[in-house]
Amino acid sequence: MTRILSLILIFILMKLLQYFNLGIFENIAMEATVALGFVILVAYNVGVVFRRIGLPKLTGYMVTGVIFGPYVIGFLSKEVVMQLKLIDNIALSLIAFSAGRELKLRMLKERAKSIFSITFFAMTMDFLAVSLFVFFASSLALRLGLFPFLKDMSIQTRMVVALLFGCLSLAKSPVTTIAVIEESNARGHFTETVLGVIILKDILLLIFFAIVLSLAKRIVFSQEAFNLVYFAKISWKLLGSLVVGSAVGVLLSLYIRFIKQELVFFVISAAFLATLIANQLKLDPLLLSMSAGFFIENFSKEGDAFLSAIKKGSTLVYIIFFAMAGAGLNLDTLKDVWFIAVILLIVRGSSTWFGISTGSRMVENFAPMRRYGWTGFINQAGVTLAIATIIENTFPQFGPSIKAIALAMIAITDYIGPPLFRWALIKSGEAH
Amino acid sequence: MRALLILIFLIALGFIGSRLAFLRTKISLGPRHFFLAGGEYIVLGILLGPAILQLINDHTLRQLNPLLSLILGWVGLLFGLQFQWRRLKKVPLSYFIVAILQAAFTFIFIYIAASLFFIWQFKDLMPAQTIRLTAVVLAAVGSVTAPTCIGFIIKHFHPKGENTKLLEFISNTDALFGLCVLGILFSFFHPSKDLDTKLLAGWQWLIFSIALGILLAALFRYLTIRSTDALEIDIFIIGMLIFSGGISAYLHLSPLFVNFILGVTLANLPFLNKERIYKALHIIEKPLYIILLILAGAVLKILPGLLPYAFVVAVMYVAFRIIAKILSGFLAANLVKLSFPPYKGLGTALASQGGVALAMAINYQQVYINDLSGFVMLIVLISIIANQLISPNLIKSTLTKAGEL
Repeated sequence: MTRILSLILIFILMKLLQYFNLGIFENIAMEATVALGFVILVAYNVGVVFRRIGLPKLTGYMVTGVIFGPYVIGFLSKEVVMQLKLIDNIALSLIAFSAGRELKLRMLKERAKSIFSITFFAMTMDFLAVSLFVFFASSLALRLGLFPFLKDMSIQTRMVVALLFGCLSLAKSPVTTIAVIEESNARGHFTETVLGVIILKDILLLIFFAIVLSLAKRIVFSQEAFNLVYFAKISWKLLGSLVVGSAVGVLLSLYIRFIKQELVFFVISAAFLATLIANQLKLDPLLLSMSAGFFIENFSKEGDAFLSAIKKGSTLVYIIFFAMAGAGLNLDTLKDVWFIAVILLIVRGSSTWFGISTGSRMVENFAPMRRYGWTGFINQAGVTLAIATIIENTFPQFGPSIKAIALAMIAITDYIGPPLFRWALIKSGEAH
Repeated sequence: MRALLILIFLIALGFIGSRLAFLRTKISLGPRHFFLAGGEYIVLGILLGPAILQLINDHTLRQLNPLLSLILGWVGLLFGLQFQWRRLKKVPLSYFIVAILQAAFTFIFIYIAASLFFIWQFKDLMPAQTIRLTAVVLAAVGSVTAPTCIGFIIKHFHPKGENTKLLEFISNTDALFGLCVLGILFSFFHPSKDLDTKLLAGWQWLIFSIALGILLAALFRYLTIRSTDALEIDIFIIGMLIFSGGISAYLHLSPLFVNFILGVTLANLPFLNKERIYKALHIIEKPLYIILLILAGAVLKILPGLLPYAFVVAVMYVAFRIIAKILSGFLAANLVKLSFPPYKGLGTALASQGGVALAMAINYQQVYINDLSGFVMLIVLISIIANQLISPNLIKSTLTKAGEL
């Protein structure tokens, strides 16, 4: 009751601010400050309510963002959402630190075969199913008016579009999956396998997408198929992230061991600086932070202190990050392409289930993985967005349309993914 | 990105600085207090700011405005939380009257002197309203006494007696007058006043500010009333500070004043988690205060050519303020019937200035951007630094002469 009263009071205050429309003074920074305070208070409470009804808190945070974002009630304007997006870097790095920390060497050695097998089958099935579906269904879809942007395109171009959609289907969001694992305090065989597969998939996707992109450019623009410079960049991105990430891990563990002061603030700053370093050196921020977390867990004694600091600092960051993710959801775009997105998700979901089930059966036949493993790979944010943006910029003819569909897929999976995965963690007996 | 980097840098400085201890260093009283009160961070802020190194430039400062609003709100809240009726009841009413009277007299003396000076110097260069506003702010800021210096002397020299108790109470309380003046100023000289879209009258803004503070306090209470989780309470505290500071700043009200009302209301509402909230606010006290000091130095903006002139005016202000404090202390202590004969020169021990005065000056400069606001900031900064250096000796000397040390 008191929570509801507080939310009503906050709502009244925000309405009052809208009444006092001081646009004459136009101060976006102050507006962002109010919005930030509002988001923290409301999203947190909504998250608690969601948790009580068995859904993940972060779904509550996202729903808050959608409802109060620019497309519904409008307390959070587009400009404010852009301002608060600065927090994304910190959130992603914190999550990646956590993910890296979860990858224990002992576990990797024990589950290497299983992780590789599942990854191979899941990636193969996803890619083939979605590419073939898009290629063959696009002819039919054209008649039904479903893929209007493919009208008058050659068969080669439609093949390229199919391959690119195939790549998009491979992209999973470790961010949301890891956030659900943390929120559920999940530990065990199922959790560790899902984590291992999702991280390996991300690494392999970078390489695979580079190959597909080169091929696509050759077909569409008649460019040289395999540009060595481009592959050198990808190699640097991967290897450099691992090496620099490990170096960051060394520095973090030294600080935790010898200075031990203000760890929460330090970890949050380190998360931000890790992204800064990655951007400056053209590395992958997620992989860099994961490597740092991996190093601390497996090669230092500071793993527990590190985890404790992350847990204390991350709640606030996650509230803002996921609420802004919700507020950033473009409902106008979703309205136009939701049907295609749903169909593609059904195809992808089925292939993921089949691939993971087959991969698990091949090695260890672990029942929870066979039955529920697919739920950990529904989410698509983050990497999908990055790939979609590259496609948009590289192929102006059809790239924007692909990106719009990708965004719709991300939007849908953002809401169904976390509750499904949480359900799976509970069913597997590993959620606490 | 740059703003976030500077923010992290400032917070890191704040945490590192709050760990530095000069207690063991054998330096004299004034400089020791100067370093303990953080005077060097003001200097650091000036160095980093647009005036010299420009590492924190104007654009970054604008982006850090929300942080400033948060800190101002925190200062106001912390000050307001002291006014718990149950604790105030135990203090003699006469102490309270002396504290407020002393602040009021100081305000009047400084206001008259500042008005006359500014009219003499700037009558033909500035609008009358700017001159009035500047005089009011300087007087309000000047009326505030910082409790840190008296606390420092009590901690190290253990004076005992009624004059000491009275001084301690005055230094903890007299900012009430200055804060209320600031709240009235922001209401009656609201920036919307001069525009076609005038929203509310001055008295309406004042009532709105007070009502807003009370409403925010009620909200805070409802949010935390049943919380048992420490992390949850911390999230609510941070969220509330940002929300209340943001709303006040967005409406061009004083976050200091609104959060002061919030603090007073909260202190007198019954609920379980009060101690936890006090503790959480005090944990972040030192780092936030250091950031405030650095930003205070960084927001300083004055034309280099005017610096010598501004410096002279600042020195005159410092000297006049001390005289005003001595007179006000004498008048207040003698007009009110106390249970003991107060030392005549009590006001000499009330010269120190610190966080609340600084916050008031910054708040003013954030909202009222005019030709004199940089001037005000410089005067206040120099006054704070000077008083941090001389106040410990003044207090020690006063209490010695009063026979309590």
